[in-house]
Amino acid sequence: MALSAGDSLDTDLKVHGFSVVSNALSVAELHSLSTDFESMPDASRPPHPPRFVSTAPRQIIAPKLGALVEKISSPPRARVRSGIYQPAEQTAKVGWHTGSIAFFSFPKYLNVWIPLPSGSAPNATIGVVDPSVLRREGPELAEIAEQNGSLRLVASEGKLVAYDNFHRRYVELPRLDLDKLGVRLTLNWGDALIMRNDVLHRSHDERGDGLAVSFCVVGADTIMRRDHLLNMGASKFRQMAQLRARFLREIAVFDIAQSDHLPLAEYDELLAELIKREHDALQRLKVSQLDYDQFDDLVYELTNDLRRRCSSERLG
Amino acid sequence: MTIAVADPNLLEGLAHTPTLGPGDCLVMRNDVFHRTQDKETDRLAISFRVFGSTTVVSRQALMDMGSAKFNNMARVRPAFARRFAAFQIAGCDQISNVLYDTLHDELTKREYNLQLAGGGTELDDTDFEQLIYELAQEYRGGAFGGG
Repeated sequence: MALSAGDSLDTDLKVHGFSVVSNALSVAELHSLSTDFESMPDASRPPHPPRFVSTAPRQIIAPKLGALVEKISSPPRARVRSGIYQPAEQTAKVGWHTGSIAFFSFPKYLNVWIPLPSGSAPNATIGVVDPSVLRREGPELAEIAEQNGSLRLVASEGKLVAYDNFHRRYVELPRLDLDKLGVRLTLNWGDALIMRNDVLHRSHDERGDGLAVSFCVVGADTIMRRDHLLNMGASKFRQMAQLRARFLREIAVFDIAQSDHLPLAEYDELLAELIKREHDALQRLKVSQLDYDQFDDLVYELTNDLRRRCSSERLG
Repeated sequence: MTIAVADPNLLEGLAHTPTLGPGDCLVMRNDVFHRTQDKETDRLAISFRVFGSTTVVSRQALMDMGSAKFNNMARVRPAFARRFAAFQIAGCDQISNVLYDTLHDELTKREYNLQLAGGGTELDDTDFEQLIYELAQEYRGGAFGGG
């Protein structure tokens, strides 16, 4: 399925949960991402820390993807978040799943999946299950998928087991042949697959030498919630702790705002300020990482600054 | 939430400084402020946490956190991942301290054995999830006092 941008893509997203956009990125843009990935330290051994797209290529590609998503989906104003590289040697083992660690922060988002030229393959393939088909053939799994942006399915004898993050339980489901229900999409280099976070998908890279990048795109009207971020089981904690610095800041923003929910723009503003001050503190203290007390001091300082700013705005 | 006090030396003025010799121990409740006064020695201490055997452990208490708690938990990532996993194995958000310890210890043992079998590398998320599910099934089947 290869379509050009337009109204049909919006319909595809709403009805089928995914759309393919041809020629979303240029050869030069793909090359900048591949080069960025190759420059990163090898993470082929467990526990496979995720590798995020660096600032420079992200700044080039994010506006383009934002414009693309705004053109074909609602809500119209989109914010492109982090991009994560997905080497097939790691993702192939995961099997059918929805979303990614982006769900830890955002309950609703679009996943823009872009294969990058790698290995010997002439193009890339990925399997997706249309949510409307899943609702018909496996309604229980469809419901769990809608509530779980980072759903993993565990294979068991004669059963399909889903860990339901939302209700924090294992759900044993009748065996469902997802390979049969799914469609296998072939994407050329430069094409992008845009899918909702509840769409089950899996890598079909049998050679295991493929590479893709996945960007999370959220609506600008998103409300960030502490309870969503901190609602976790073992796997989510494991992954968040592996990315300690990143999630530490995300939690700290709520501490600074002294609020359990924040509009995304406000959240981003505080996060950017925290990152800036952390960077400044590292330079000033000549250390590579702040210790616990130093980070707490920084959060406390920002909390006070914000409180003062709010007071003066009220008075003014 | 951060709470500021007017006098930063308030606690210094209120504090006792008990002197302990080798073999002595100080028993205190978890809400007692304390700090080391050994600024010029290289002594080592060990701290044990003691709970009532009827204590109920809740997942919510584990999840209630700000950045400082997360920072500390992430530092000992494998240990806290197992603590979260104990609730998944029991299929319950509140469990007794005894069951919590039993499940935690069993998971630790099996994870360690799998790591050894895998050449010492940490389990990836898929294998870890699979291990938790296996233990959950055993618990539901009557192992570790479950059923």
